[in-house]
Amino acid sequence: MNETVTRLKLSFFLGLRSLQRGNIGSLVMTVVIIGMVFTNMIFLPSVITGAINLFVDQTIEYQSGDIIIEPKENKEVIEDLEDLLARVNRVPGVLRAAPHNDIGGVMKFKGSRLPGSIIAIRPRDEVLVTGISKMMREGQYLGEGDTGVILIGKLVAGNKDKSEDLMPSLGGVRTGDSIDVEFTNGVVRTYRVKGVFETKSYMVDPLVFITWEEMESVRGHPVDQATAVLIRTVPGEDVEEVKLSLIGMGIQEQIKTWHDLLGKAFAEVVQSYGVINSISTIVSIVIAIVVIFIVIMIKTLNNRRQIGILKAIGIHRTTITFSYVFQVVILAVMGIIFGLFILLALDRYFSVFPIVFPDGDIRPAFTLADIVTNAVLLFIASAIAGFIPAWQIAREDILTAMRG
Amino acid sequence: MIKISDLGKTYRLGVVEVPALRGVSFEIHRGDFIGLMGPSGSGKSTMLHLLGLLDYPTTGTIEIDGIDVSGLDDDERTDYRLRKMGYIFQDYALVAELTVLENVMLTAMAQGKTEAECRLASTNVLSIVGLINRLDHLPKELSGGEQQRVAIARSMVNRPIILFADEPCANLDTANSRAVLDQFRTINEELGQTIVMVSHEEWHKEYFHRVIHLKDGQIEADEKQPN
Repeated sequence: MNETVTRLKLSFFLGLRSLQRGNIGSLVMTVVIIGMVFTNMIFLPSVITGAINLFVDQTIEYQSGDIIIEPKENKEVIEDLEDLLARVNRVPGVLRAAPHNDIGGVMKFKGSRLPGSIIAIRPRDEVLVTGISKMMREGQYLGEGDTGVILIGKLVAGNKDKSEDLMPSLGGVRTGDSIDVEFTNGVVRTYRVKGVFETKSYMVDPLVFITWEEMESVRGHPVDQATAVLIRTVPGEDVEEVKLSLIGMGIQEQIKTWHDLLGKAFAEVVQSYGVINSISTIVSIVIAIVVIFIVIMIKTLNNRRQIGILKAIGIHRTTITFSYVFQVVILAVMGIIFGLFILLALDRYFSVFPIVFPDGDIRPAFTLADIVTNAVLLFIASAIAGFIPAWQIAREDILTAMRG
Repeated sequence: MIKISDLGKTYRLGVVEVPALRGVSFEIHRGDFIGLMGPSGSGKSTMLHLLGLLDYPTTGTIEIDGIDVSGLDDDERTDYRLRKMGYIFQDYALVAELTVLENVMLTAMAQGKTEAECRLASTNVLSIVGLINRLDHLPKELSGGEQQRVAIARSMVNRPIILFADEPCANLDTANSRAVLDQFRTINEELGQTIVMVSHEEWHKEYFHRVIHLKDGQIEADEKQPN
């Protein structure tokens, strides 16, 4: 035990001195390379995590809220809506519930026809539950009790030049324009476009909203039904616990958290991204191992005679091997610290200038778990990459090594 | 003290066998200062490598204080070299990144001594070789003669039972060579240090107690020096 400690202490001493008084250019270059490899290991996964976060945020913020109540199986609507809303809004942890009621229809504008769902909302509740009101591209959001007006998503409004559209649209509707809607119940109405929103979500920007009062007017009777009820929980509340509370209230409809809603397909997407991340990490580690291996191999070959002499004067080969391992470990720590500074700079940069994608602005998400995992992986890989060439040279015959 | 019996070494170059040392026997006594001399290819370096446990003999044995050390395994040899032997090489062989003091402390540290013990032992031997004022200098800041004196100090720090020097003056001018040899003489006479040194310079003989002449891998002559 004592002997092992003595050898390790001497290894550390030799390794440290070699770094302190060795070639500074080589040291800086190695640290920069390890730092870059570390940055590479973190950056791509952070962009993918950022994309996943964006998708989740868009779903929660614009599409489902934290929890969504859907009709019972084999039912198309939720009955006794007012009673349900009164109960839901009393559940601890629920900030607000906002009902949606869809009706099919065909929208028409200057010869363009676009079939789709028109969703009735209660704006006063809706602004507390979804963030669409904050994403107005032009015009205004719906007001409580508005009639004769409609709110449309950017993908519905479209462009005059339809080749610029990603999906069928009304061909360039602007705020103030009038569009006709032919509902599936036969009612035909003309609406003034009060506003156009743009969330950059492909699931949300094709939506169209009218007020609850307008829907009652179209249907010709009070509406006490909903196709969905979106719920925003109080910040910091555990969504799963709120869901259990709702079930405990005896609500028979389907209650899904945003996670349940995204379901298996989302889990598969995350898993696929995980595979991409793993491949990227493996490639980065292989690069790190190869670079460090070459650096230490060159260093040990250059020091071959010195290694032979150290052995000749009685320094154990383990001591010599670990003096190089310690050097690599110190270089890896310095490289990881350098990489962390790069990541910090990238984090600051992308928080101001996010990566612009058609479906939203992605900010790389640097998670502590990713950073720690990759730092540990790089650390271990570096130690192995440093150990192998040093071990090979240190076990060489003394006289062969001394000949250089 | 050291008994060499029928020591032989044959190198294999492919299918060709090249005998470098052919059944050499002699004894080294405590306090000897022996010169191994002979022309190139006579086997003197091979002899030094075998005595210094840097290589394995093909035949024969080396007994040090009654123990056959020729059969030790690699780790045991390393440990034996650390604790019982000292080496001085032709090109000084100092660690470039270590100061004079650190180079000398190295083998003491490897023995597990405390830093204070290492420092004390190292400064003692450095004062013997006259380098006490150069403790914090790096090897590149020293002359060849000074570097060789550091190497002597390093070889002495663990109080070896025998010190091996492989043409230690080969890279030095006459003045520096004489300074190094004077150093050897001092540690031999004052500390009773046993020294075996390879040399091909005739004038070095004046420092040796005994000269073993090798030729074609055999002892040609083993003569005591008159001084």
